[in-house]
Amino acid sequence: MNVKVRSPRFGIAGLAAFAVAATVALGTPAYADNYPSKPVTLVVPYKAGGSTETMARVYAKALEKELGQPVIVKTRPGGGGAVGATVVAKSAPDGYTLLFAAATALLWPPLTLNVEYTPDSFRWVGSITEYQQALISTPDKPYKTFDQLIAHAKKNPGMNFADQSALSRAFINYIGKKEGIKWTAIPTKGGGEMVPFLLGGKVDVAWSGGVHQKFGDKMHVLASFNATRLAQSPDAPSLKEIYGISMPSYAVIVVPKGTPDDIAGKIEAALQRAGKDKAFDDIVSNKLKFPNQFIGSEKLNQLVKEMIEGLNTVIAATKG
Amino acid sequence: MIIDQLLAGFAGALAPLNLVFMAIGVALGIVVGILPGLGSVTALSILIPITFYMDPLVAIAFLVGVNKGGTSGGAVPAILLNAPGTPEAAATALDGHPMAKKGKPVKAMKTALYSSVFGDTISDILLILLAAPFAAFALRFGPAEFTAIVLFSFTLIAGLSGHSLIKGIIAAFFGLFLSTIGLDPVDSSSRMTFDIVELYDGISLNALAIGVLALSSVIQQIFVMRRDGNGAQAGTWQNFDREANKLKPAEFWSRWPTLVRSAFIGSGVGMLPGLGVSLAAFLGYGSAKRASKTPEKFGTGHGEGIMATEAANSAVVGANLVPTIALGIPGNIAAALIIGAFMIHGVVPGPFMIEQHGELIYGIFASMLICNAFHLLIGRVGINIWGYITRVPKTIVLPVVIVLCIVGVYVPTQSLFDVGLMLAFAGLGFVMRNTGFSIVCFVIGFLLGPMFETSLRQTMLMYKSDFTILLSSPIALIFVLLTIFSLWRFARRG
Amino acid sequence: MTGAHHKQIITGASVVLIATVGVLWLIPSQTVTTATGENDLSPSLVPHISMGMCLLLGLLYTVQSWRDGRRAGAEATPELEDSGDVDEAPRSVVGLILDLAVWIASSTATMLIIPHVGFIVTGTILLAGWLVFAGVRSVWIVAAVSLGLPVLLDRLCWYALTVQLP
Repeated sequence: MNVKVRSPRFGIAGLAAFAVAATVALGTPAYADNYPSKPVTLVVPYKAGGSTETMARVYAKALEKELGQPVIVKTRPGGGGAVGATVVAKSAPDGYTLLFAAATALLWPPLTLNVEYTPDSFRWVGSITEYQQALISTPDKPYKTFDQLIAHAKKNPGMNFADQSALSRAFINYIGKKEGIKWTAIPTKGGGEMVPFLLGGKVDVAWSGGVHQKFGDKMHVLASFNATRLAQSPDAPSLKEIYGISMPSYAVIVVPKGTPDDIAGKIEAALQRAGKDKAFDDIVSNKLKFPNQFIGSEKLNQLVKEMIEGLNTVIAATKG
Repeated sequence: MIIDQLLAGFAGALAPLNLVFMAIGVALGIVVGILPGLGSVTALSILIPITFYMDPLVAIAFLVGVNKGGTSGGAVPAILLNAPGTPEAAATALDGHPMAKKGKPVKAMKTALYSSVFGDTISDILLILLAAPFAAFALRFGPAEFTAIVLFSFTLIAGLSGHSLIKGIIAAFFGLFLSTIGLDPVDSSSRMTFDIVELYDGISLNALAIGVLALSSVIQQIFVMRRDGNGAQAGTWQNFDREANKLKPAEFWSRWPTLVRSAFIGSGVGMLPGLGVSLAAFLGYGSAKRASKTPEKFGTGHGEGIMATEAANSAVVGANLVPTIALGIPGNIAAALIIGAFMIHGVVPGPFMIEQHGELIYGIFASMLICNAFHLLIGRVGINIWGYITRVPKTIVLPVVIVLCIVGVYVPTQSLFDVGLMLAFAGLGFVMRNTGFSIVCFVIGFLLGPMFETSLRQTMLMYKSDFTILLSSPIALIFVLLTIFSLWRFARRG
Repeated sequence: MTGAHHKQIITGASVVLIATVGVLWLIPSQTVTTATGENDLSPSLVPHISMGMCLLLGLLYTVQSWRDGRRAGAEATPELEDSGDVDEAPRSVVGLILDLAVWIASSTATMLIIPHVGFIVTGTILLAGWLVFAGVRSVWIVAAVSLGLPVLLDRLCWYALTVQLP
């Protein structure tokens, strides 16, 4: 197709070409009908090798079948997800660049760091699963439940807890603030560092993003950071029950703001169907032991509002 | 009992399909490893999706092959072009390139390959024997122990500073300074990031290492060729002498203490999560130089230097699966990717892995040992092929490497920001080369800095600033004493 | 005083200059200087120590070179280039700055055009430039390598690694 519009002398032909180009750029129904006509990129804003990246690789295969185009997984690690999120926020809103990340990566950095995106920079298409975030400990400790832990911590100030991010630290400090407990945050670089610290007795309790489920009875859950109790540990209360706050737990797929409705709709439908893929279901439900549960854009947008409110409460309470 | 299980493992591992894929894996790993900037990690993350439809044993054996090949491939550009594509091959270049310049590039590559395979084999054997009992031991390592280990590493590496100790230390501190850029490890406040989001996780090691180690060396060589000015002649390698490039078995094995020492250093580093392949390589080189009766020979094309480095960095490959299998935690990023592959193939890595999937695990152990044989074979064939590179004039090869470096840095993170960083660090490396600052010290400072700061601050928080932990923990105490001993010896030598 | 000593003094002075800027301006303006808790170090401590050591050692080195230079007087002492990594002969300060300028110009140009014209075009220009600079005089070789390689790499990355070069 001739879309060169160099000079007005091209007259009607030029204008027509320009019009075609303009409509293509704005995304008309005709364009959405063709979607996807080229490979789709799925950005994972974490280092290769984590549970999110593993999930994304399997999911991309399933999505490929639904969309009929290759789905390429790109990792853009950095800043707890902020680098990848920035890249996607700035990319063209044409449905060819998707972001697969923890909701926290989109919500938390804009509140605490100087980043070039906000939760509104994205169109939240769907949530695939929930991270099983928990406050965990080992069975050799004298406290077996969350209440016992609080009582123990009040009597023994200066306990150590392992966090994995500024966000998890803020939440555990929030508990400390509410209960009047003094405890020390030990920063760790993730599950790989937290596990030996906890099993080796270097820390008393730890935040876990779900890795504890691989360790059977060697670790046990004291409380859930999610809005609900964890499926694997129904006896441990959730923070929502105790303090009315929860940590955003959803693994979401978003596209840049301004993506046309019908393309976003197509993606949402494909996401939902891809979630039923056998290989994906196996890795999520049986290996990671995460719930394989799809949440559509409508409900997700409500949840996003609640999550932002919750995070602001925690920030306000733990500041100063 | 282990023998029985291992024999059963061999029965499965010797299946023809498995053998074919292992060989392909090793070959792919070597090829990818040779490209600057691309190593095992990139190769693994790209190839894992391909294994989706394979049988679990074949898939993991294939990836193990890739990992093994990828770690040794990096030695080739280090030797031929003085352009190590990864920091783990930086110490290989120190002796490998001078040896190649003396007209023995093939000998240098052979030395590197055989040492790699040797270190790797020792490491695999340790893995098979130690995977189970290791779990309890590993848990004794906490921040205090890591602080002591990193302190000791600093002193061991002081010997790598070249002739000017002052400049070596300046370079190391400057590397340390650059490593603090990014978000603070404890309170997540930003440090010298100028609010650039790409800097929040710090300067990418890959960009820094390729720029300062490989690319700066390439532009240095181009400028020198231009200044010497005799065109094509300056650009060719010296005449190739078959006789000088033979590596006699007696010559190789006479250095066995170095090989064994490096293999154990590499295995030890590999078993402890978070220390990394590059540290193993530098420690191997540093300690061999320390132990040598003729340390002045190091850096002049001494085979022992190549052996010490390559045996150590390859020994990490097998051993870093020890924490994976014993505890379900990755020894490094390559192991993290293999964990991902395990999960995709229905095995959840963790403390129950050997119990639940013993057959598969022993099949993998057997495959690792078989892979080493392939590695030797394919690597040896490869050397003949890489030998042909030496016939192409350097005037063509070097500019090509500039473009390869750009691609190599771009591919893993797909970030142009990293490409820019690499080009800038090439400039810095170029200046350092010409003013006599040790680039190796600079890279080590950058590498060890964050480990040291994070472990130290974790220790202070954990033990409430009570430093007696460094003396009351037996492991920490050993390393503190070694540090003092090492400093004392250094001071005495002068 | 020999040229080599001049070069050492200039090197030392540059280190001092960079470190001073770091200690006095960069670190205080770009880090939080207070620690969060009683058992934590302030985020600016390690940067300060590392840059401070560079400053001190840089000063020491400058003074040392100056004294060595005075002692050597007009004698042309052969200079030992002092690092294990350096395998080339020392060069003059002016030559070094000129070479560096060439590199900076080439890198800046690369980074400026690559987002607009993509890898293949940038790679071709860059390769052709450096091939000629390195001393390849055959037009055919320059053309073949600089046109062929970027295209080959681009296709290879796409098909083998599923990575789209810019």
